[in-house]
Amino acid sequence: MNSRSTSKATVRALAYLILTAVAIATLVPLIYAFFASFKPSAEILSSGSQLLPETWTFENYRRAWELGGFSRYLANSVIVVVGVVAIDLFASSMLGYLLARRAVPFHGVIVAVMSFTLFVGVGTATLYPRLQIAQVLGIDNLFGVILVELSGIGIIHVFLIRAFCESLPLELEEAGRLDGLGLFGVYSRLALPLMRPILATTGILAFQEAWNNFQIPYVFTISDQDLRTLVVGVFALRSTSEGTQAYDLMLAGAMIIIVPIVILFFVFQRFFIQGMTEGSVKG
Amino acid sequence: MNARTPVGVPEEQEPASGRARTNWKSKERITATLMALPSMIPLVLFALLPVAYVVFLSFTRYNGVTSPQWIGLINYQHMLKDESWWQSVLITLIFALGQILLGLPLSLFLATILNSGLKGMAVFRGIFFLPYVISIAVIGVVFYFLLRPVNGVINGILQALRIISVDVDWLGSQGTALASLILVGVWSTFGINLIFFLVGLQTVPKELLESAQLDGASTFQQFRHITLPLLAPITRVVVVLSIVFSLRSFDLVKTLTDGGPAGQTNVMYTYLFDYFFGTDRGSQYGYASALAVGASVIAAIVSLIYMALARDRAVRSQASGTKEGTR
Repeated sequence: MNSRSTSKATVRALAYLILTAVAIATLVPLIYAFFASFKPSAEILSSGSQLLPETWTFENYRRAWELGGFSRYLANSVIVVVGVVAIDLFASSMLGYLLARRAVPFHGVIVAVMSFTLFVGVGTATLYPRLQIAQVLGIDNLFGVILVELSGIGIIHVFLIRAFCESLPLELEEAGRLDGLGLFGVYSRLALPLMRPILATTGILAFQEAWNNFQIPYVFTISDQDLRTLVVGVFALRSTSEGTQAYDLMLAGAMIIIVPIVILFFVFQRFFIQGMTEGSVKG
Repeated sequence: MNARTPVGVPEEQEPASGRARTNWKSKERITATLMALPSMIPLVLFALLPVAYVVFLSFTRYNGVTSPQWIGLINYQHMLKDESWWQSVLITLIFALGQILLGLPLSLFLATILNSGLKGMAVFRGIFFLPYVISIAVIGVVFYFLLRPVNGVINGILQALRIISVDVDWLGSQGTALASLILVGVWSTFGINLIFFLVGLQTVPKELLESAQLDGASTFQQFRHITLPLLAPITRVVVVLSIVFSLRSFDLVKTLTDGGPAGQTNVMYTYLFDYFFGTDRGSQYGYASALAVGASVIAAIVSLIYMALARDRAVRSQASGTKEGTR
């Protein structure tokens, strides 16, 4: 009896030990990079393994902001994120609702096209034609970036919203019909307010995907640096060919990307985990 | 509970007169079409059309200036003989296999601990998931900094822990660069896989484990003979997702090693990317497109092979046959 409870306590202690070790391994890289972004550049290069800066400085951020173009990159990122989230919420909720109610012409064709696209996985393979089509349409700019990102992420969101709407009760909508509401009226006045939970999930997913995306804005801004988003700007500092990387600006830029999403994650953890789990299964 | 009508509009509520009814119906169809367009336009223009275009270009010679010239299968013949390409295919497979063999057992192991009902598990779950919400491209850049050979952070920590004695140039040789890619890949994705396993573990009935314990089964035996078989369906999903994601890798490799040293860690997509956009061998759009088609086909084949093997095993181990939804 006694020995059994001690062995239970040992197992528990061991479990916490393992979890703590993995948690440290998970957090240490981020924490080191975070503190390094407050080190003067000479210190970044000389004392790698030292966690805290000897001299604290905001100089890296100031220089990234003023000289590194990060104020502009941030504005571009914000434009892309706002565009993607807004259009995604609007467009995906409409199509997801229509598919759930089988109210759209060519229902089967649309579902087949979306499933096919998911299966083939348009990604890196089709970056070039996507850019070329945008060029032909004269939207090889941030608007083009927004539309291309939507074309990739929208499908999963439509499927998530469709599944959610299929579980919504029909009585309310039927009553709305009797009161003379048309299809759009039923969607916008009755169904949309009930979709809030799933739209919170897909909205956060869209935000995360647009904020973090690399390859689409990278390819779209190869010839126009003024349109770079934050992620592209940070990568550009890593790949400078001069040989001496601007680690100071690079780290400050990386933190401008990482810190907001980490804060958002801890505030909306449930939505993040739920959304990203469902999103990748559907994907 | 009312039975669900599959149609959007219950018939009896439509206006009675035939003409008004068709009018009304066609009006609804127009509304529905208009509502579908904001999703369908980007999908057709930037997802469907580009797939068709890449397939077309793969049969042509095209430099982006003069118009594409039809050359049949020559690009594909070239692909079969391109040793650097098959080298990158091999690297991709090692990269994927390494992440799966290392990452999935770790995720499963941690998930069983998190599922044990100890205090504070939600906090650990949040921490483990954290890397997955951060841009994988930025993770690549951050680790590029952390792995610096001289006065680097990771070298410094590993020396303080007495794991290594001299600085290692992690990204400087093929073996260590590939190992770094695999480890960073695991670091960034073990959290999501852990969540999948956690979802699966919660479906394992507690009574089953308790009665096994009463019968004298050890914790490991319970895990081996009850938990693991019950987890088989979710494990298959996690493996397929891991295969697909790692075979399609681009961002992490581009930002961490950029295919280096000397192209030795190029995966399929970083390799073909350079034929599209690279400065040295860029603008060979026809050949690049053939490689893009090849990469997609290889990813599909590997996933299908795994799914066939997994299903085969499932059928053999359970003669009764579990019903699985085919996606």
